[in-house]
Amino acid sequence: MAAAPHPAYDGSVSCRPRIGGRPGAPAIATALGRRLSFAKRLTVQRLAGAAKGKRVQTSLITEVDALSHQQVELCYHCHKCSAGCPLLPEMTFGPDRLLRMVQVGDGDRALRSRDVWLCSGCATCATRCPNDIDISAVMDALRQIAVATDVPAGERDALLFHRLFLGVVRRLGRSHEAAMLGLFKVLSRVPIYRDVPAGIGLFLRGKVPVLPRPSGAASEVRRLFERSQ
Amino acid sequence: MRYSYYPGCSAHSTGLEYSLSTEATLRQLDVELEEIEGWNCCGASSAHALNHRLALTLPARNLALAQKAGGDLLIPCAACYNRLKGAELALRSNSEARAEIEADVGFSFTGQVRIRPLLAILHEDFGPQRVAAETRRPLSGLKVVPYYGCLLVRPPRVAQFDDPDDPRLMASLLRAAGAEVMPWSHATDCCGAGLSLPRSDAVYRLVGRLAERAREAGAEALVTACPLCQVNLEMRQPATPRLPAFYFTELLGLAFDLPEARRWWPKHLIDPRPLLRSHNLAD
Repeated sequence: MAAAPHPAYDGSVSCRPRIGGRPGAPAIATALGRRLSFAKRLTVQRLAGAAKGKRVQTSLITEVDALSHQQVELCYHCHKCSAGCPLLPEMTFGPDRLLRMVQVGDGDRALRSRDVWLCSGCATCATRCPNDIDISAVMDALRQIAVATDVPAGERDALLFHRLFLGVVRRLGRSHEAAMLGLFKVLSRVPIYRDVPAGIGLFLRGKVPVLPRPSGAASEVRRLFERSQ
Repeated sequence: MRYSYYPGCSAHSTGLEYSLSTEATLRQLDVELEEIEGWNCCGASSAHALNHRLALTLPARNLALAQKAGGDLLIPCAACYNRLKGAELALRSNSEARAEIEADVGFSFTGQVRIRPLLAILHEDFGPQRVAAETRRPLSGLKVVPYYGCLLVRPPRVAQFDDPDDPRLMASLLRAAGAEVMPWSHATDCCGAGLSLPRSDAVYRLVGRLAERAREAGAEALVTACPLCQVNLEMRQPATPRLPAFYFTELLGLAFDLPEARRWWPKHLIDPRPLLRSHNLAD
């Protein structure tokens, strides 16, 4: 989805001009690639820049802001997001340092980190941010950029889970636990014996039906997937 | 009373007792539920992680179906509610996004459908008085803590429901049904959500902490309004004695003395019957 237009600087402290990035590049990408995925847009941007013999400066913060509809540059690092993050003990950096990496363009470390995949999307950070940055949306943007630019996921199985989930929805129109759990068991690095008792428990209680119910939505949902590529 | 009904995928799987108890409890309140035909998955926690556009168009398609059906849209699942509200917010506030969503889904957004979580409908349209009036078997002595999880209340810009730090609606319904609601500070702490499969260790830690705090508050059970929270609370709760996690609709149905209630308890991974028997609430 294309970027929301950013308001011009009006002199207040809550609205700063965007830092970094050549304004031309996103505009070209928007014009040429409105219906393209991020990876393709990035390629379009790079090609557009190369054709003019210029170094393309699509900074990370420009892309993150555009994808998330947020202004990461507003963050002044009060650390409220990291202080309240329930997954912080599992993370390497935590949300606050990830925002800093986005600001200074340290995409390598940010995109490779397990942190972006450990975010559960609970939006505690987004609720507490004094600058109204929806940090969960920023995390979504980082995940999308990592996938689009083939950066290996810092938590491989978390990405696998999302892919399997969406793969099932793409085919059936709805989620189907039995198919997803089975595929996850086989393809993930989680030991295959783990969760077997819980899985049997769910099955015996009729909570993972083997056959999916027809949803009547499959073909239309497939079209939504095709249009989103 | 008639509502359009979006059950969500878990209604037929891991959240079976949520949909069964929702439908039974609402029947008792003379509610007519009209399931929107041909609904699809809202995208849950995976669409927004990988594909921004799908995260809007998948829920928007359900919104389009609800718009065609008319009336308020009732959603029991916290995650589905959040996804549909997120799509609605994009449709209302971002004209560029709106044009794309409308083109993909093939509908024209009118903004007339009210998307409402079940908890809000029970509280606003029926209220604690009606719950008290329907209660034939008060849940006397049953000590519980309400657990909302994340997505019913956060982010407040999207969810627009109750208080994101100190929500109160569930407690007032449970009190009206006779339960003793214990005060605690963890009603909206995250359970770990979709990390349950890839990183069960992290979810054990989060759920373990919730159960510990609930016990410290003097509760014998947690009460949820989210199918993913409920399955995590029961499947990822370490150590004994483990606290069962009820859906609030189950406890309302029990207080209404619905005969169906006995069919919900065997669906739990942590059997709540010993607890209910100790309060003379089950045979």
